[in-house]
Amino acid sequence: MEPPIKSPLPALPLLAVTALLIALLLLDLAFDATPEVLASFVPAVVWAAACVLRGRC
Amino acid sequence: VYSGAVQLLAVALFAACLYHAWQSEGRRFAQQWFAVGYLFALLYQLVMVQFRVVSYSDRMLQFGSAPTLTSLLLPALFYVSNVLAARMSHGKESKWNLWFVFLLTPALALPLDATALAFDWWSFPSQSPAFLNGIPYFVPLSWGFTGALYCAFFNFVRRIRLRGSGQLFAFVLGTPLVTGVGLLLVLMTQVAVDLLGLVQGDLLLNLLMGVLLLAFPIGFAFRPLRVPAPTR
Repeated sequence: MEPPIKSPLPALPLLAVTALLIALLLLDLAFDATPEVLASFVPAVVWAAACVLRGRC
Repeated sequence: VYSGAVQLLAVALFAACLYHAWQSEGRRFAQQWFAVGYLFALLYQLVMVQFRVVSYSDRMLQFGSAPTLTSLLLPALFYVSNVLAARMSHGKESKWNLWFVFLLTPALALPLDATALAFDWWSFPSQSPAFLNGIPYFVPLSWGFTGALYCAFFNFVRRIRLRGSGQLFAFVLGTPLVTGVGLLLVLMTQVAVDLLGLVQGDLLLNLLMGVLLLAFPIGFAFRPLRVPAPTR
């Protein structure tokens, strides 16, 4: 029996906001962002790491 | 420059979140969350611009002084925070849900504000002490309060059992009121943070931001799991 295809729907908000943040980061990197601008991404990355550690993503 | 980029990203995030809400929570929930959220965002941005908390680039599409497409970011970001908060606090009915929304919203909004300042999409004209290239210290707290306020308002009205279009009327009538409360919260936060900066300097404000943006997620990651008591 084939394993059921896992729907991406539950993760859609997380995927969408991750795509948004990556797009912003790429835009910043493309235009020589200052370290302060790049540092603003740290809290989101820390939250993402915390979610992965707790298995809540 | 590139003000079209943030508007495009706002529309994409809004569309993805609307689709998710429609599929997972139902049509009524999705329509209510995003229609009321957009109304709230427009009113909120209008008053924020009037009170010179924020100022938007003239190159953006605007309704009055509020950006029409960029305002889509607010209900979408609040929705993402709400969904993630529900996972972290074991359900939307948990008493910790609003607390997680309060913590998550600024973490998601901070890169937007920093990038917006770098690209002149919007700016913060206030003279408040600022960090990260010009974001006033009160802004992350304001994001948290606004996100939690909107979620609390939405959940409160959803819980009232009203006939027919009663909920819709409650939302429409309640939204300006909630906008007023939001404005009051933002202004009070600004005054409190400015006073704190005046008395204690930037060190304490940096510490406050460190706790809000870094210490809480780290604490959440390493908090010991509650082991249920053994049953005899």
